[in-house]
Amino acid sequence: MTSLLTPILDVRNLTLAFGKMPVVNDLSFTVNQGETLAIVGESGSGKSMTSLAIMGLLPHIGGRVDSGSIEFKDEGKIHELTSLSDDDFRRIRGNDIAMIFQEPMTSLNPVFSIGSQITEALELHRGLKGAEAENEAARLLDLVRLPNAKAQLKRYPHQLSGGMRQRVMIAMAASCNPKLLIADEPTTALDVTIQAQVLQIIRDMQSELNTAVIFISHDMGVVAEMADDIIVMKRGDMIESNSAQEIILRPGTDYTRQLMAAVPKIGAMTGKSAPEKFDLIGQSEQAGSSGKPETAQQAEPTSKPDNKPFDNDDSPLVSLKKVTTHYPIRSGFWGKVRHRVHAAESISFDIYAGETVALVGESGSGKSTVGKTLQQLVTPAGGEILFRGQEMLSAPPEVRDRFKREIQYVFQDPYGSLNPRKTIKASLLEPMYHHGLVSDPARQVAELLESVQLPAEFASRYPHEFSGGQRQRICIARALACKPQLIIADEAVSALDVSVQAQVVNLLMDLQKERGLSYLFISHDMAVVERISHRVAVMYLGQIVEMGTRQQIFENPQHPYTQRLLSAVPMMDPLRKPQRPILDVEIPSPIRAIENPPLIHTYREINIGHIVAENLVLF
Amino acid sequence: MRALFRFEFLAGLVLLTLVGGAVALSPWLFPDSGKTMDFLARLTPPFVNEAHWLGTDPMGRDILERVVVGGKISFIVGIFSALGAVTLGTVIGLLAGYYRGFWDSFLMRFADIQLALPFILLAITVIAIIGPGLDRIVILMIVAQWVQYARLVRASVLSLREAEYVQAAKSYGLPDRKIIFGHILPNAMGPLIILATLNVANNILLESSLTFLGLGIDPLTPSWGGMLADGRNYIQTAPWITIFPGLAIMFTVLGLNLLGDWLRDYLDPLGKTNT
Repeated sequence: MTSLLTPILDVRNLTLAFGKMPVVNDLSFTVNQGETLAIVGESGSGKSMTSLAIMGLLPHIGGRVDSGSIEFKDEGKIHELTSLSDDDFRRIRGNDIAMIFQEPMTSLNPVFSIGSQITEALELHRGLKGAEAENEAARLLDLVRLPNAKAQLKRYPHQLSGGMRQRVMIAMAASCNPKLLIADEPTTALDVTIQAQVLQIIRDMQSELNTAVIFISHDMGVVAEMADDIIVMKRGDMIESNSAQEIILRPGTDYTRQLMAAVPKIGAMTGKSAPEKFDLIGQSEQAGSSGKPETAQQAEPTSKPDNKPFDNDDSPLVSLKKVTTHYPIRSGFWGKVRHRVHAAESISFDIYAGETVALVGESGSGKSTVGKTLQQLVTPAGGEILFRGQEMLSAPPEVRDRFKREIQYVFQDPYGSLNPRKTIKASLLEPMYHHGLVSDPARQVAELLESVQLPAEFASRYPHEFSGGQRQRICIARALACKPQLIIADEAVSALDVSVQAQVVNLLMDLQKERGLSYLFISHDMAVVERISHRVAVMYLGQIVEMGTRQQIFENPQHPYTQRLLSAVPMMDPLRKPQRPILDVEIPSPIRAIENPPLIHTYREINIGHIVAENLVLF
Repeated sequence: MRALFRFEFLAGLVLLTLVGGAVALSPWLFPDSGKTMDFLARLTPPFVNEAHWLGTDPMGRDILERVVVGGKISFIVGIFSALGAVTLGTVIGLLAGYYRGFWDSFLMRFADIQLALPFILLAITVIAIIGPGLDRIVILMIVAQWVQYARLVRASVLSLREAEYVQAAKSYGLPDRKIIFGHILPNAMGPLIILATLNVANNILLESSLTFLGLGIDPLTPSWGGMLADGRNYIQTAPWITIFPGLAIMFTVLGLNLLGDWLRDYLDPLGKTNT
């Protein structure tokens, strides 16, 4: 079967190093024309280093090729990329081998229009001039399904959304009909529905141009959707290599199985009414050196047979009633408010003790604003918030301060939410001192670290010494320090590698069981939400469009936006590569002129506790 | 553990101790404060006359004596003006950047206007109002220079206030005072220290310009900047008049810069600079 295929890139016994530290050992693989090879692994596995070596960009960041060869075959000619001169490489790079990077926000130059950046590539590599180059640029934007391509050429990067920018990057990569396209985590920074679009565009382009693709990702779900062959890497070593179908159906190593088990699979919870922990096989990233592994425990069936940890007869812990938050946009010389961002519009829901309510939606849907309003980080324009029956917004300052203890917030970015100049101990104690909860600092810090399965010795270290997963545990420990009743987890696991993400989700669920915590779990990831939540609210453009129990939302989604979110989640099914229709609708802007307020949804109840917006049109 | 005794620290400390120590001991070393003139030994080159080791100036005053005595004025002007401007500018920058709103706009527009005024014009106006003198010069420099610190700090605060750890501190109810001085200020210190140490040197020279214009101190009182100005006409025939006060300024500034670099690194738990 392989004999029919034309190999285009042949990597043999490649070893890469940074200084004395080897980052890739003895890696060999072949990429064939028109095929997709996926390289999968967690952060630090050497997958991006491999792609930079192929692009000849490794010396730029201080790495080098120690041994091995990279042969690029181009119409009978064979180029040995490891020994190519800079000048020769420049002819291949961009022309024959193109690359798409992870971060669409920074990979376009902000001071040039989209058009001039694409035509620059066309002039450089294909010798096109003037109107000719411009027409070709428009054709390329058409190829990546960017609506109204001609007009887009005049726009600047900041005027485009992340998904549109990534499409421009793909168009630029495609501009010279490359034989090989390297996509390094091209969708990691994007929302699910946008991710689905971008993946579809890469697939379409591949079949139109017969390009070979090296697809680098940490996400088995995405990889399963894209790849013909898969290489699994761990700390610089290739530990498995096979066809995608084989690896997904019959993974050959424990590590691959772990990677796959950690991917939240949508639909895995069908028929189950209570949340359930991830079933993690073995342990991939140690929580610390505590020797207290949190995995290897089978997902125990929830001890309580009753699937409602809360009783609707009880009064709710938190109750939001028509909460509305706007951000004013000032313009003109006098800074008059002429426009507002309608970040949250008439939001109403309850959270009961011991319950996890998930708020899902894409970037800009206003879900974080709801969390921040509840945490008193932003002041709402209207509505009321009841916390244990007491009105929060009109409460005296000392009561509001107490609410800031009883409600805690965990932020998304584990690298940004700890002060780099404070030790872990100081960071953990700060909220406790403020709320007068310190009795025996050393012991309390040790207990907190232990509760998030980190060793007590970590207390005297600084944040930069820890991995993302460890930092997020420290942030959770800081939230626990105040003995809260409600924790708002704002995309708290989104920035973590999948396997670490699964561990942190399990930790959150353990803590909930031990301490009877409630969570407001804010996320864009439907599959994680399906795992952790009791009830789900779907937000779109600042309003809730559908809300119900997890089963109601996932098994019987009613609103078209909910359905779209669910269908965009990658399926780990190699036999069925989804062909999704490309939706060119970007989410419209929530910025509105002050005299033009949005339509407030009305709801109908289609089942007990399951409400859907009457307006089913996405606008 | 971050190295307490790094090269920068030791070198900076030695330089400043040498210069500062000599200056501090000047009343005992040279009780007649560098005003004695030895007309028989005018323009003596250095290292030839045992009575005047570093030579003499056109009026026969001993260079060594004047360098040591003059250090007092230069130290006071350089260090106090920088300290005062840093303190004032930092507090204003922190508050303006953190609270934004009307006072931020007001103070920053005011700062823009002040930056547009030439320093000499400002100096003449201020000195005309408050009169000349050592303390007046320091006040003048603080008034003229707080602006750059305020702008620098405010720019850092604008990004730091959005940092998630600042949001986190707000979320658990930490009062603004502790957020501003406990979280934001330590993270905004790096560039501030560098700018302040560079400004010390500028202000030492500035003092001589002001004195030259008659806006500063009594022109007979020696200072490093004043000695540089005096020696300008003799730079080709008697360069030592300018070289030695110049070296004194250089050692002071170098010492401060080294200490500043060290302090910035010492305060940074990453243990190295990330600029």
